[in-house]
Amino acid sequence: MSTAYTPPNPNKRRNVMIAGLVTVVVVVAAILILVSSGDSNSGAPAANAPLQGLKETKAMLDGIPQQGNALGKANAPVTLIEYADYQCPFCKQYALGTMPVLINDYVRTGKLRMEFAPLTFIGPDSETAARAGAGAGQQNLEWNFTHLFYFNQGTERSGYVTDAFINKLYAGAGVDAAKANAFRTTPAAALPLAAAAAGAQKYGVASTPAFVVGPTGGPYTKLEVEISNADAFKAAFDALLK
Amino acid sequence: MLDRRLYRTALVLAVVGIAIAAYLTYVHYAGIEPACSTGGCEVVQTSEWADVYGLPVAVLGLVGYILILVSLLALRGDAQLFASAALSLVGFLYSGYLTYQELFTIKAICQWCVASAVILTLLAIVTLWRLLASGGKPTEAADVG
Repeated sequence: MSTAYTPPNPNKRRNVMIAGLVTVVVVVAAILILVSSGDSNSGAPAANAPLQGLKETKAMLDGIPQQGNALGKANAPVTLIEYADYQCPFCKQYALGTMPVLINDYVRTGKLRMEFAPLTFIGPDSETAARAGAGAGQQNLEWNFTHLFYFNQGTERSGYVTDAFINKLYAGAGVDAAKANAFRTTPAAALPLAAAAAGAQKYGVASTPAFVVGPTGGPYTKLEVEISNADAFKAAFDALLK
Repeated sequence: MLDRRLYRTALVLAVVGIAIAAYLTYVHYAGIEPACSTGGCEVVQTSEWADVYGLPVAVLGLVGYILILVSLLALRGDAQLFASAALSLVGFLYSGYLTYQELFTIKAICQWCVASAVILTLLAIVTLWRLLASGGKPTEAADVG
């Protein structure tokens, strides 16, 4: 008994190929999405989560004078002003990556002073954080507060900058929370924000973090550098220190 | 005839996509603000979804659009249909995810990102349509490219 040969059905083969294509597409897209969300925070930092960066903040700032939003000796010959948003992830990247190197090599040695100019374009949490930073600045601890903030930064616009979150940062930064909280809701706490916005407009700041640099007291010019390139910052400082 | 029209539509969409992604890539590396009528471009461009482990999403988009264009121009027959559809569908799904983040997490609209998402949606429709309509027949567009 013999059976007739049945040629493979081309339509069936094609359908299998299309199904394979859909599978590959879904897998590749899923990998891309997972990779994209892999470097993001999952949202608000948990209320009971331990504060990150206490040791690093202390090591970076201990022994360096602060005056309001300024870090370093008042008579340092060069000033770097950073325009940043507390919620901006690239500002965190700069603060935790490049900035400690610059502080150690230039601020600690008295060659450079830094000013922090808080912008609030991302949303209400940015203003809450900036006002809280100003509260810490009243006690000359703004840099401690800000650095701890970046260590514990949550997802932008998720509403994580609560009173509890700020109080936790104040405690970590050594800020008198009662005094700072009383200050941060006053009109005076908005003044640094307005000054930063005016400066950003003056220097054409279009994204954060952005920097202007110059001899202390001015004139300042915009510094166009990759935020991860500490050598580019150093070259700009060295040119001004000559 | 229909395949030829769809093929040309896909070519135009890929070229427009390249133009948008190239502009956003330039803006990123030049450190300038993109022309923006929605007011949210800066927020989106500085959000944590604007890069994948340091690689700007604009660059990823540019590479994707170029691959789609190359698949349309350099490949023939089923290879062209399958490659262009696969690339467009991956782009469509990924841009859908980014648009979701824009609308519901970042809560800001970047007109260029929306334009790119629309183009990838159209590309996915057109290339998938070509693939399903061809039914294994040689593509008319093989002579066009």
